[in-house]
Amino acid sequence: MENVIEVKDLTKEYKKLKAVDDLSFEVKEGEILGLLGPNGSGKSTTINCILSLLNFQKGFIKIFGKEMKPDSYDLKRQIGVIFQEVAVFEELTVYDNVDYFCGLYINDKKLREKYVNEALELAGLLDYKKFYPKQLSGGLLRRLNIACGIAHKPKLIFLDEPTVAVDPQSRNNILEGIKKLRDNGATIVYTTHYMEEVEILCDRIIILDKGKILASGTASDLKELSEIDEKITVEISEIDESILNEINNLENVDDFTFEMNVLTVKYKKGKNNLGELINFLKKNNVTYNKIFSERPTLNDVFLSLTGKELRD
Amino acid sequence: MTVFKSFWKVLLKYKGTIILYSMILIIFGAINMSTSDSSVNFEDSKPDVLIVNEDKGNKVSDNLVKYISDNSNIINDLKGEDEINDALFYRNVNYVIYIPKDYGKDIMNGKNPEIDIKSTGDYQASLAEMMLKRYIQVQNIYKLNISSEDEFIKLINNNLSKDASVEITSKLDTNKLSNVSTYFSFASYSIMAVIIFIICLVLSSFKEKTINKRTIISSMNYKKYNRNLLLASFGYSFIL
Amino acid sequence: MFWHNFKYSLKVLFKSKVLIFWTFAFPILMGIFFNLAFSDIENSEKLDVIDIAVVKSDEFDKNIIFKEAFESLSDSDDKLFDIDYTNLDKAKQLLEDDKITGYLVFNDDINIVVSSSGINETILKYVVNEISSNAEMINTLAANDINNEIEKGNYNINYEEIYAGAYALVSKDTAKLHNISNKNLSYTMIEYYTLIAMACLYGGILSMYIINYKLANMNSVGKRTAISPVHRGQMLVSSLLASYVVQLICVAILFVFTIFVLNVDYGDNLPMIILLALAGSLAGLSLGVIVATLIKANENAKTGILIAITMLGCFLSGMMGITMKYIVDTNVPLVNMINPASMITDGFYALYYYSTLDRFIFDIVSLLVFSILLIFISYFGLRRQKYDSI
Repeated sequence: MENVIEVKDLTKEYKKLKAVDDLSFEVKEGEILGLLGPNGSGKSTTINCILSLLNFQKGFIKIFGKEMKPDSYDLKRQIGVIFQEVAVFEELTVYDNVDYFCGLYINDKKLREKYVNEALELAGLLDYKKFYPKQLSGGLLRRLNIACGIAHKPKLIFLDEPTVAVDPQSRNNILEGIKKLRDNGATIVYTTHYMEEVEILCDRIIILDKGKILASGTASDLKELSEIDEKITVEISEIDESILNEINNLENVDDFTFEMNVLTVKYKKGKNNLGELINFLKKNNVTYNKIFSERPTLNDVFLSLTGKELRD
Repeated sequence: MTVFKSFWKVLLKYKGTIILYSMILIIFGAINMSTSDSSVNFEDSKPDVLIVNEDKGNKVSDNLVKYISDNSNIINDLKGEDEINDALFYRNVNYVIYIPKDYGKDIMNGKNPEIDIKSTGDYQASLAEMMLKRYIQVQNIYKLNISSEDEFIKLINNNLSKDASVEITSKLDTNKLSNVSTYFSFASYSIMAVIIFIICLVLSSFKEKTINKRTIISSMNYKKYNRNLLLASFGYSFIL
Repeated sequence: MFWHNFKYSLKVLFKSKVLIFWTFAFPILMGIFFNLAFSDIENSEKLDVIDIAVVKSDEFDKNIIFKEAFESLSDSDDKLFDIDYTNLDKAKQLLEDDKITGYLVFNDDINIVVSSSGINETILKYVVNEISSNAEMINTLAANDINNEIEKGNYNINYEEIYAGAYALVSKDTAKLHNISNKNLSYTMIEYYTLIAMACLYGGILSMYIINYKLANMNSVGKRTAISPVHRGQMLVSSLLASYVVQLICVAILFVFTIFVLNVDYGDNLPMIILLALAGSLAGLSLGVIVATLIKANENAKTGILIAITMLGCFLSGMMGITMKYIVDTNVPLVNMINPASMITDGFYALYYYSTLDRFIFDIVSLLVFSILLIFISYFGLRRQKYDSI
């Protein structure tokens, strides 16, 4: 599979601050790459540099095998972008907005009409064609934002935090839509700080912090990086301090917390941690309401890599 | 009470703007006011006249120029027709007299040469034209029996020196009164402008979407809220 | 792509309520206010009939010359005075009540009594002086004639005939004055010209608005258009063309309104007027472009700056006081040479007031040079496609 995007040694500085620090990565054709990181980690800056909107101090960017420059119009024709801020004309209707932006790529009027309607269908906006952006809710506006960015059926799509402040129904719509786009042959770069989305959607994930790549790989690869293998959560009404202290002596236990009647125990590895914990609680006559086990999340990965949470 | 106090707090934030606007309007008013003179003796109104004299050096023409100069403000510093036309348009000059070449000579030879003029058609121009016509009339009468140039000029000047006496009834010094009344009529505009502008500024910050939302869901009766705002606005207007 | 962008730029401009107000409605409102304020100023300039009183007395009755002079001055169609022949007390009362400019008392001399100094009072005094001097001339002429008769040896002198002859001579208006003033002297027209200038320059708001949408560092829509495969130049030119068209429409509407509703006189030269409007609008457009590209601030700040520049220019070209233009033109002419509002106002003035086109052509050329220069400078700012931060 070819590399659709090649970024090598990208460095971007704002005065003394390095927003992007010696970044190198590739994006393969047909994959969905997730750029994950907290606010200020350099995700948007990286995208803007790749799109040739920002000056950068060092580095080299290739798209579809060619160097990306502001006047690389043939490359731009194949790219679609959905920015973090909603980028639509307040004065135009939903239909007109999508038609305008599609028209910057597609000259043929009939073909464009077809594409616009398909884009509106994908975004679930067919009922809102004549509405103005002011009349749309936050979620619908985001969907419009997306429709404007992909109407011309680009081969490479950048989505920069497209689901910020979006209701759950719209968010699901958006994620489904993105999968459809990939199924239709597009390569997608998806930035977000919501780890759940990235886990559902992305083939490969890059974790960024302070402009550097902390880790990259599939979701499972990254979870291996976590020191934690399993997390068990128990709802307990009351438990003795002495019994609590004994939990550390259990096998494979890395750490535990007890706050507001919730006991959380983190295990490094092991197969039967849940069974052993249940036995331990029984033995000590501790009553509990709920108990469940889960695998580590990307937040845990990030936490172990940086000591911070993904969402500040 | 909080609403009332907040109004004044917001207002005080704009005190810079209030002072600036008030100063500007006071200055404008003062400039507008400063035109009339306050003499108690009668003074002739003098029109602004420009004379283009192509017959310099001739005593007859010079006498005409002298007569006009004595009875009007001579504007001197204009060069070229364009400047003259502009001055007429902007009423910097009310009347322009073009004395042709050999005017004096022609008069002495008994001719009555035509004089070109330009006029704005207003009061001052009418007065200037009256002056010019009178001089020419007198000149034309006396030229019927000319003995010598000097005698001629003396006769003309004698005749024209007749000046009726004018008495001004001693009323109140109307000039001061008219000054003050001009200022008051102007001041009303400036006061209105400052009031409207500042109240708009202050109330618009109260009506801002997010603040307005907060106010509406608060427990204060909306009538009381509005009443307070109104009271504060009136208070401000009154003070100003 | 060119016409696609043009069509949508037009749509965006026409649908923006704020823009439509400032460029269409505001100048028309100003025009209405001007009309209300200025319609009467010039009527009050012309010489009105002056009200005076003459105190009846024997001396006045004996003074035939004055009597007949006043009669002729108050009797014709274009009379100068409205005369009330009355007694002294009533005359004093009339003066105190401001019903008359002044009254005349005939004793050995003629006394004029007025309540203040002013133009009407001066005219009254002047007329009295003129009649006096006429009287003197009549006497002199008659005396001359009588002497001549006596020298000839004719002692049968017809005094009436001689005096009548002298009177007729003196009364004849012999002054030959030729008025060569330019026609079209209404100076409130300048206010309306500054209004057109303002409308032309306000068009800059349109071009600024639409350019902001194309600048990646101003607007998220700008970012979107920046990454599209349309050539930048094409994008900008088509957007600016759209703003120019909208601007011309609004200037045209303003013209029609001022000509047919407010009766403003622009002179006789329609093609030249159109040319001036085109050049003026171009100047406004270029002003908007340069403010959009070179000034680093948010959209509201840029709009504020553009409006401030326009209003300052209009102020210096006479919008808030006609004589301001004259003051600047005579004392600091350089300022108005670089002020586009003044170039436009002056162009209309030249068309209205002058018969040759020299001054007008100078104004047109100045406007074109101004526009080209500004667009040229903006070009370097617009060329930039990568930014340090957006």
